[in-house]
Amino acid sequence: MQVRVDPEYCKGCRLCVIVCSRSVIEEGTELGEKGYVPPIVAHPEKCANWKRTDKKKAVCELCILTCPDHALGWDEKAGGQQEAAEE
Amino acid sequence: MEDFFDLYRKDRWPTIFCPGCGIGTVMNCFYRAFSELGMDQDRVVFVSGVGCSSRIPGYIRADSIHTTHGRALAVATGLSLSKPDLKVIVFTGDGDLGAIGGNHFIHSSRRNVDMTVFCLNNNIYGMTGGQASTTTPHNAFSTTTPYGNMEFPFDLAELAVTAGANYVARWTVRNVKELIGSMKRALVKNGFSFVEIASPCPTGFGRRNKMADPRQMYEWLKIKSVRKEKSELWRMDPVDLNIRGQITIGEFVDRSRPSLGLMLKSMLDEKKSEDGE
Amino acid sequence: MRLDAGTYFMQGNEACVEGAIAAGLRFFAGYPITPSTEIAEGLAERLPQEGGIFIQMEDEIASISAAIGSSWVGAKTMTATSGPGFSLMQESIGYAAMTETPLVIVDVMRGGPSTGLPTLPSQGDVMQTKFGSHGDYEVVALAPATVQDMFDLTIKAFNFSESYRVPAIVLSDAEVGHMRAKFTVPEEIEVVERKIRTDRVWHDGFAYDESLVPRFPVFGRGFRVHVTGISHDIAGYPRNEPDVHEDLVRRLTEKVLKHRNEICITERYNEDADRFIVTYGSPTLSAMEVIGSDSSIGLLQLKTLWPVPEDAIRDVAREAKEIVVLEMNMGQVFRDVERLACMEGCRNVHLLSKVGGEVHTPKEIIHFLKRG
Repeated sequence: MQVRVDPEYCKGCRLCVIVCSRSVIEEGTELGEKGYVPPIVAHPEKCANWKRTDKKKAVCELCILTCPDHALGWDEKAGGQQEAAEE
Repeated sequence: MEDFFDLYRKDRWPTIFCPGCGIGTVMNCFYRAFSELGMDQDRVVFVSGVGCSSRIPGYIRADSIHTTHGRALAVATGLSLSKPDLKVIVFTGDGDLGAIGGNHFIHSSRRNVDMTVFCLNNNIYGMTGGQASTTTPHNAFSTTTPYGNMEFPFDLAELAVTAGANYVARWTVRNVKELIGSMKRALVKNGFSFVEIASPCPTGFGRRNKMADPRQMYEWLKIKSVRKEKSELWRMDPVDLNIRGQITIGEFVDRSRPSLGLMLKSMLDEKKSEDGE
Repeated sequence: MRLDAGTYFMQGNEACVEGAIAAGLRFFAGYPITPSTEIAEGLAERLPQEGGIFIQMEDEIASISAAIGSSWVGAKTMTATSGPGFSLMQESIGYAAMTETPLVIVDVMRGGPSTGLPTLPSQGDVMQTKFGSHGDYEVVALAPATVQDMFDLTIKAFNFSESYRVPAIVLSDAEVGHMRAKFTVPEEIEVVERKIRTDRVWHDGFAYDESLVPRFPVFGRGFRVHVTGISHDIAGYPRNEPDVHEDLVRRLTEKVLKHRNEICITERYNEDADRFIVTYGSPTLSAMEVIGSDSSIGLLQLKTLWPVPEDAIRDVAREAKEIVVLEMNMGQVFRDVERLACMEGCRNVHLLSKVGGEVHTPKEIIHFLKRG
């Protein structure tokens, strides 16, 4: 699964960028509709949960836990599950 | 509960908090603690005073009472004693609890009333625009200390320990995992449990102290906080939890003094059986 | 158990304790202050006997705050104090009015201002009762004049508070609080309970019907209601739109004023008199003695002070050639009596005030009435 950013709730604080120890999320460049610049999930494959499928069994989650606006969440359908299944 | 918005009011999202405010992080941790414990949101009541942290209960889908400035603990005392099977959870701030509410803080700890208090300490009065609070560091700038703060800050966790609270811990918003664990222990504890959370206010505090970017405040928290076990200062003086601007983090006390509610119940039960009812 | 029907001899404050218990008091939080301390002491002993909770808090602000908290889990609550403590409680009285929290506060008035005369009576807190907190709100205030009143009006205060979800104040004074006299407990006592919400709709915790009083969404039953002192809509969510606040403030005042007829209690003696004494609280007993021996003088005793019993005062003013107001203050109820009397064409309104801590004597009243 991979983390996704909800531009409706994001206030562009970029705390997710610095708490991630694996540089999964990077600063964005496009101004969103709310007037903030939401971050981009630049390297989702570096995330510790890339191959997982169940958000209840996620590890780390520092970005999601830190985000003060509940703008980050899991997309259980996207991510590296295919790779994991093939392995 | 399955989802974040089972606990929080989606119709009031996004919140009023500034970008980078630590309050949202505490709300995330609280959701995890609450749902991992499997608590019943209809057997809980949230209490708060006035301030940014005190706005949290308004976002929670449960019975909540947003009281007058500083009086959250007194209202919580009335709630807790009158309906002991209702879990009372208080969200408050350093100004609400440590300044105007200081007296109620001391006495609720002393009485060991059964409640769980989460104090979000951002070292400033954020809601009103950035005035100095009782925990503003020495020499820091704020709108009411334009020449630097001459006063020294209070250590709220230390106060709770001395006054008699059953469980006292302090964490920062950087320690999300430990904070969730601490919140769970605080919630199940009978008696007065107190968790102080050092939380950044980039708009009120950071901006006036060269830390306008939330990420700078996060660095500041990292530098200032030291685990209790690793703290030289703590070893030297275990009574003083927070000297020389250090934020000592960890769990400080975990005891089982009887709560006022329990003692009241046994007194009333005794009276009942005396009267032969 | 509440007192059995019968006659008892007690102190005013003790009768207040029994009245509160008869009304169903479950929680009392207080702080010692002369001359109300006997109420706290009496309840410390009596409430646990009834399975209720007594707590002495660290100050008056904590006392009223704890009482407010307790009210929200459905308990009938009370606190008791005197002038200095009453001043401290004002912010929370405004909060109780704004959040429509049923609550009874007993203020046993003493000499003021400030620390004043702790052991002697005055009636100096009347205006403060209605205007002490910031903003516009209504309260119900009742003034006992006898030990019987202390019992009866305390019960009535609870009933009004529960019916209209408004703070109700029992404005006693050191004289009435400390005097000892006989009083009767009747067989039947009317006790009103707040109307609790019956349905579980979560987005209108403060919805109301034509009575303008919302049903009470008690905590702990899954109503998930948010209560706040900030201006709010019927969901209880903080709002700051002008029209929302306008509606809220007007409803909070209208819900009490609309029920004036039930709330305003007065007693009128010597109907056909043409000169009237208007008073309340301890001077009433002296006034009763004066009119007892002279039927040309009538008496209007105000048992309700807020909302002002305008109709009863205007009725008297229409027939009176002269009105004398007796007060142990510099003229507080006098202001409204004079205003209302003038509206009815009676300009001959006078104030006989005493502020030294003594009640008016019948001799003083007669002397004033006889002046040239």
